[in-house]
Amino acid sequence: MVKTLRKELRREIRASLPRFLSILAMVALGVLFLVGLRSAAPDMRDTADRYFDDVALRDVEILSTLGLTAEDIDAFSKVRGVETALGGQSLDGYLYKEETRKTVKLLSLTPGINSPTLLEGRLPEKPNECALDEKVLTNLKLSPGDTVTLESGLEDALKETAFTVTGSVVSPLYISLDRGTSTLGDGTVAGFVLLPENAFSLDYFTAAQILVSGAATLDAYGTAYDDKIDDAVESLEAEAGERAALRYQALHDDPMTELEAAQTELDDARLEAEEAFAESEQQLSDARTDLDEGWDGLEQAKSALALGLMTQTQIDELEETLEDGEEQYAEGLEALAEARETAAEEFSDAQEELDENRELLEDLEPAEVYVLDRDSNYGFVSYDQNATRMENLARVFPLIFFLVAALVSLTTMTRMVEEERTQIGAVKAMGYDTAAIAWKFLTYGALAALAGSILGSAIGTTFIPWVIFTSYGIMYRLPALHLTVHWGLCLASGLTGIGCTALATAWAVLSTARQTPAALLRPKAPRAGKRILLERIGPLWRRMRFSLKVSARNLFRYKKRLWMTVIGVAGCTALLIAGLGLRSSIFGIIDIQYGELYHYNIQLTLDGGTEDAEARVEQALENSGNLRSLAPVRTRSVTFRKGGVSVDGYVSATDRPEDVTEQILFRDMKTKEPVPYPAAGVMLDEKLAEQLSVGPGDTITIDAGTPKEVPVTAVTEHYVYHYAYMTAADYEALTGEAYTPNEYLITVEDDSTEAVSALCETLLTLDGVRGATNLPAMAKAFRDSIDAVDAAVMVIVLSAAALAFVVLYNLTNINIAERMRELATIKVLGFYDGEVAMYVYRENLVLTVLGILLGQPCGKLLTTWLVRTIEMDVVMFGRDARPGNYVLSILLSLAFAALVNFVMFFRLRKIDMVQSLKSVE
Amino acid sequence: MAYIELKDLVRVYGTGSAAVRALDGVNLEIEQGELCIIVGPSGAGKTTVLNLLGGMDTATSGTIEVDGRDISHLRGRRLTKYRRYDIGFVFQFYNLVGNLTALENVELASEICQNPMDPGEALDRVGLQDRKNNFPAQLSGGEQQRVAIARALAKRPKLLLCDEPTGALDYRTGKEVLQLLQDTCRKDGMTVVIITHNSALMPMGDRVIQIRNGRVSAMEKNDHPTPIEEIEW
Repeated sequence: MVKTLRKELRREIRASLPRFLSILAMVALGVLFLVGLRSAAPDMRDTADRYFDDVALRDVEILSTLGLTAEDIDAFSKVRGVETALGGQSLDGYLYKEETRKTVKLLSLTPGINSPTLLEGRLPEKPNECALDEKVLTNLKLSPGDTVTLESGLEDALKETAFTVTGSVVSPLYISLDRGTSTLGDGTVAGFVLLPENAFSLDYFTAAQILVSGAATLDAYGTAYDDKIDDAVESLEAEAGERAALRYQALHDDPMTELEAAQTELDDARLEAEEAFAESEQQLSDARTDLDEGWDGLEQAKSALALGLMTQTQIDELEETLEDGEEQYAEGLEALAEARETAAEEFSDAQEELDENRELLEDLEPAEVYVLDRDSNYGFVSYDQNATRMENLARVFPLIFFLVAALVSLTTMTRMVEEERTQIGAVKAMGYDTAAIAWKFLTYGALAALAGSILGSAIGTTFIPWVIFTSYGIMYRLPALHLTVHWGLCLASGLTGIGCTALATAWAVLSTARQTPAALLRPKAPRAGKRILLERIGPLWRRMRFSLKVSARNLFRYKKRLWMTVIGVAGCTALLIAGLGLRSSIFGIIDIQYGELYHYNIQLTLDGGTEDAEARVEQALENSGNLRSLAPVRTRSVTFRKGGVSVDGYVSATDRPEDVTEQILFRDMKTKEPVPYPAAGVMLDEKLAEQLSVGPGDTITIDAGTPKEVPVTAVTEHYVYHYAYMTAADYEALTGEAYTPNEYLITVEDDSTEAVSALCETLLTLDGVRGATNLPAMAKAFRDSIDAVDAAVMVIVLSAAALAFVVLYNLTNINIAERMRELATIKVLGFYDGEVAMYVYRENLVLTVLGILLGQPCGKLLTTWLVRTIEMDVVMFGRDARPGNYVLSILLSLAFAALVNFVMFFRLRKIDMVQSLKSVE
Repeated sequence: MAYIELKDLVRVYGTGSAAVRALDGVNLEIEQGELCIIVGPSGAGKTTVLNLLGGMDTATSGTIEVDGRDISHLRGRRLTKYRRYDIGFVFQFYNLVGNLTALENVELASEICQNPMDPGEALDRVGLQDRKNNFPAQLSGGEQQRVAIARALAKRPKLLLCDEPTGALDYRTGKEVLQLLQDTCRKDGMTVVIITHNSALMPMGDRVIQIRNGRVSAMEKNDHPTPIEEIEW
């Protein structure tokens, strides 16, 4: 381009800096939020990924109900795709500090995997040392050097009981505040305790920690990582299955064989003994016969004596011999009986021992093996969900900014072109063509947009992710945010910003620049005044104050500005309503779900399969003296399908519907009228019905192993997770399994924290009870999981404020610039500063009020859209608008407008009458 | 003492080396009811005098007395009040509010006065009784300037200040406007100050002040002003 034109452009920018800056600011805002919100999720994930790589968070964990042997671990490490496999311990237990008892997770140190980060002290080395979860250390006000007592839930798993605390740590296994649940204590795990491997006395491992080779180089939240891990999990599952069979064999089959052998031996020994005894008996019986014969012989001998064939002496001798024989025989009998008795005792002892062992072995279930990837880690998953929520928010929200930026650029550039009309004419008269003239304005706009894009990208890449990450930092324990410059994103956003401005500029400049120089050099005829519709209503017009008439005319005279301001203010109001509405939608459901809909205090889960568990639970509850009511239900996870949509959720069945309706309120979302428990078919929660696009009268498919068609008979208000309620009979028909309750919903008389947790503790000691959750804890856990959305809401509210301010400022600025002459005139006429301001403000006020009114329905729509965008699949956020939000949005918008007008007051005061009136515009 | 008295009036724009002395010690007097013509080449400082006299600008030093009151030290609201009640302004480019009819433009001024002339009457006086409800865009230049004069007169000011009132008008219309101003002075006894670069208009004034390089180069009373119709240029 021509040098002079370039020089002129440079001076133009310097001379009209506020205008240049206003375009710059609008583009910067648009780019800022686009880049910022879009960067937040990848940056969050990237930071977590780097951390997980640094500390080598396990990719896969294998748990077995029978424990894992060193050979098992060795086998896992040889599975294809596995880099490292380490055996470790993971047990539930108690930590005592004086009288206080906390349920904790006892973990062994696994060098090279799940490396903890030391905050204080050192890692434990000796069998009587431990490092504590920072959360536990803080909660119990412990410090390194203190002694605590640890007790494992599994007998004799620990060598010692008293442990010295060596330090406090954070673990990548627990990046969120959640520490999981346990069957010990009241079910809530307070934190983890790290112990050296040598502190455990078990001869097997309870868990295997596995790193998959090549997984660390992949993004932990990416699909490539998922695929790799899925492959590894598949191979590991196969291997683990085999190892489990071997383990069962080692613990069950082999001992059983040995036991059988012992049994055979015992039986043989018994048989042998019997034989030996029988032989002795025979000998004794032979001796008897001999003796009897002897006695008979003696009688004959006595007869022979009478005949004189034998002497008395001979007979006496004979008799004596027989007497001896008799004695020996009696002795023999006695000895045999004694031997018999001893043998019987020995055999029965041996049998008893064998039977005992057999019983133990027979009770031993085959090993259940769990191969878990990181998705089983609550912190890992919920963090990702939160990042996704930011992503959803970033999808459309910044576009509103770009829209407004384009609108504001359009007005601003139109104004600029109008101001330079004569100059354009002069330049054109000199022989410059339309393109050269358009170049100046396009460059002006593009430069402003470019500067804005750079500024917006810089702040957007750093500040917004930082704000979001920091607010998530309250819930997640992660190292400092790792910022990445997303060049592509910055470039795309910048180009969008520049494109918007350039288009708006082209639009503004071309219509003017195309005119002939002569037409341009003539001052543009001032816009003719016009009568407005209102004047036709004579009685009304006549009664209006003069100043009002002027305002009314002006309003309708500058239609473009009217719409710009109305739209700008409406957008701001709508954003405010959306931000506030989002907040109340999200947090409101906690009160509704856990306060209004769920009446029960405790949700008790049963193991299932343990006989008489129900009777025991109900008895224990009766005995506790704190039971108001209870309802047994059976829940089971299923997949709901309709059309192409499939949603995971639960079915909840009961044979005592009237009891369930006492624990859970079923009601229509809109009318709030109670909905009866379905006698047949299923009752769906609102969101599930919405996702499947069904209502009462439709049928859906529920897949609980085998898909079955089920009629929908009702829909109920419900927010957290998906449930389909049905009768026990329908449940049996659906699943083909017998209905036995696996959950109890319990309402207590005394709902104080202590009473509820005491009851939970009692219930957890019962055989067959798996877990007990109290409702406040559930509500709190849920609140924690959505707390970070608050940050997003703050971003929205702040951005709405920034947007409102920039738009109103810009428009008021243009308004004043356009009417400088008019304002100077009335100043000369002697209007006081206040009167001059009111002359402008009256119009602004009307426009602001119109904008606010228009913003109300827009805000309602935007809120609905935003709520649906941010909400997770398994949660329905509140859909009801709160009147307070609308009132607040109105007040805030008015406050912003007032602020802008206040700032403008000083500009109005500074209007130089002399300069403004000097020449024709 | 004269009705209007300017003493050692200095107005400096800018500071330091960039300072420009627009007025470099102006001394002049105007009597009540006079039609005063201030002439001078462009840049001589005549508009600055008018702006200071009209309370649109403030002097760097010196005094401005109007009707026995020094207005040179007035600022802010008191200066506005001075403009509001004591001054009527007529500009070269009329400066009518385009969105208001002729009558409404006059009302704009009369609205803020304590004892205004009836807006309709003011327009009658300038001969626009038939164009009251027309917008500026529907009026000729001369008509627009008449509306501007009516707007100034409606305030019943002590002083009517006119800055090149004929500058944007053709010869004939310019004459009509000047006639109107002269009539206003004669009939209503209004003190009128007209600024012009056209020295041909000098004979029409009761008093003629010539300004050159920020100073008064000549000030003379004209006891026999020439009627407008006899002036040619």
